[in-house]
Amino acid sequence: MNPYENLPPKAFWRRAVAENSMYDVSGLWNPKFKLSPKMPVSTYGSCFAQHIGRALQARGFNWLRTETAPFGMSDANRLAYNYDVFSSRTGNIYTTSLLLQWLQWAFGIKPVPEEIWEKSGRFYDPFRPRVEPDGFASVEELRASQQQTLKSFRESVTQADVFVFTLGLTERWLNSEKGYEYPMCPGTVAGEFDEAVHQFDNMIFSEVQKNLYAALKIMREQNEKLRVILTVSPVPLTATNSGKHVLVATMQSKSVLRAVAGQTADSRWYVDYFPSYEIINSPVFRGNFFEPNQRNVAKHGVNFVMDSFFRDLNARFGRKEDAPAPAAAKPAAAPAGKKSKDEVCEEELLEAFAAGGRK
Amino acid sequence: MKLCIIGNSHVGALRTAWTSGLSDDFPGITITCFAQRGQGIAEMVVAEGRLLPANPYMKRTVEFTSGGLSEVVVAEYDAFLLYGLHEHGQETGDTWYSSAVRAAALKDKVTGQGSHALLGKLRGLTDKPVWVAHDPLPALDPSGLVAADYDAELAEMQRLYYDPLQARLVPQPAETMVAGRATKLAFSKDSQPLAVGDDRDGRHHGADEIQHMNTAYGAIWLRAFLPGLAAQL
Repeated sequence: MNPYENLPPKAFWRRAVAENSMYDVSGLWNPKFKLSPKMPVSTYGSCFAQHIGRALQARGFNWLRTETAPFGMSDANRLAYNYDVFSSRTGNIYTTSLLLQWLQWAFGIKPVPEEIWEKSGRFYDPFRPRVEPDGFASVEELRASQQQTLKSFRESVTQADVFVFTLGLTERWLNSEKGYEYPMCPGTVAGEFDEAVHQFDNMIFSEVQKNLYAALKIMREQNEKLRVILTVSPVPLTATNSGKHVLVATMQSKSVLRAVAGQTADSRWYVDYFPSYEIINSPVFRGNFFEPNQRNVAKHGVNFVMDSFFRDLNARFGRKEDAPAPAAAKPAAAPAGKKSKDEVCEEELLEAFAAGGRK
Repeated sequence: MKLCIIGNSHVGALRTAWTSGLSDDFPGITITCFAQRGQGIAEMVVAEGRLLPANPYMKRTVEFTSGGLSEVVVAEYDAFLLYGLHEHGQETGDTWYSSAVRAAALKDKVTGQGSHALLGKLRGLTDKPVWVAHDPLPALDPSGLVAADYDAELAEMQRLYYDPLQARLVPQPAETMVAGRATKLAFSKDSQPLAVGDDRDGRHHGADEIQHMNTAYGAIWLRAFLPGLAAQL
């Protein structure tokens, strides 16, 4: 008798993977805690995180949005102005350090920096450079919008039962004088790059982990019932400033993020890890969920991930009577390879600099 | 003066009020309604000098509501009222919005409506006077309602989107409104679906109906609108 003799089929590669069609590989996630349709869920993170909120809503779950669009705004303009993208209008939060920064600002631990970018008479928020596609009309507007988002972000932490965060990047840009972080390198989306001030950094495991732990600490201090689900974005880097090949840099970043997410979930009862990264990236799935550029996740890939999420939830806890069946879910599977256009992803703008200059 | 009303189910309250005796008070005005439940009538098709039903169901409901006419012959009317096909509302929270967000939302609130599509079709056929009126505001309990700046928003819509099309936006009568964002509860009592010649005709909406208003509302609306109409022609 040895420990392996009593392990379930999922513990063995041959039975769990090799003998199955890739579409029958299941049970990848064993949720730690229940997610019922009434529980408010906040979602933030990198580009891939945007799909999670919408999928929750489509399945009748309670996607918490604390900063909503004005009455009557069209879907296209909601997307353009970053409403219904995340729970509030933070824009993408790519790194654990950016998450910590937002939390520190929202809960008054640190002041919001005064830096503002101006271009052609319009004003851009360095920390949400694309939240208004044409910038703000005045500094006063920008400040008022920042305050609104900080309030809404704060509420999305204190009012949520579950906080879903998708880790996206380890590479980041810092203001070396003031010590804060930008979501995008200054001079790309807006602003001017100053090599004396703007400093590149590629976080190592311990830094990513330290920032995530600090973020979790603040969130739990503000909302002691809060549960957290971590995911890692399967989307490769658009560009790297690390000096390495972008494929190698991607693997390094994602490996660090995956390891931090796993270790955090393994060491904290209120944190879970959902394997969207594995579902898209594992060789088992043969890259089928990517678009031809092998970077963007196709809509059928997103649907497969989210189907897995809800299937595993139901398998673990059963479907509550008030939960709509997945068949009633809104987003139908798109034709294979059809690109999802409903994403707001600042990082993709780096592609414009591939030829060595602005296009 | 011949008024042509084109609209959705909300036309029912006007039509019932008009045929229940209100027409006696306006002897110089005749009204012809072309209406369909839902938003479908905005799909009417433009032909030479006419608006045609887009499908057999629309043709049946248009014939029923107009008293036998299967198309809108523009030359036969002196003025047009596009009624309903325009959901109006303002956000209720205290969320702050930038000027760009407010402008984008206001544009969407007008140009995304069926009434605006129909107005464009009508303007392709005639330069006769056209009035546009939104669906009644929902009937809500007035307690706790935060006042909306109804008049200012309509004025902005008028200036930016209806003036260029030489159309007039008609406000909901003030005596029917609460806080600029709701209709008084009494007006949704005993409301009925638009009669289109099917088995729902003559029934009443349920007690929890908040969108459709009754004949009394229709009468107040027309009494507020018709005197000004005659004066402006």
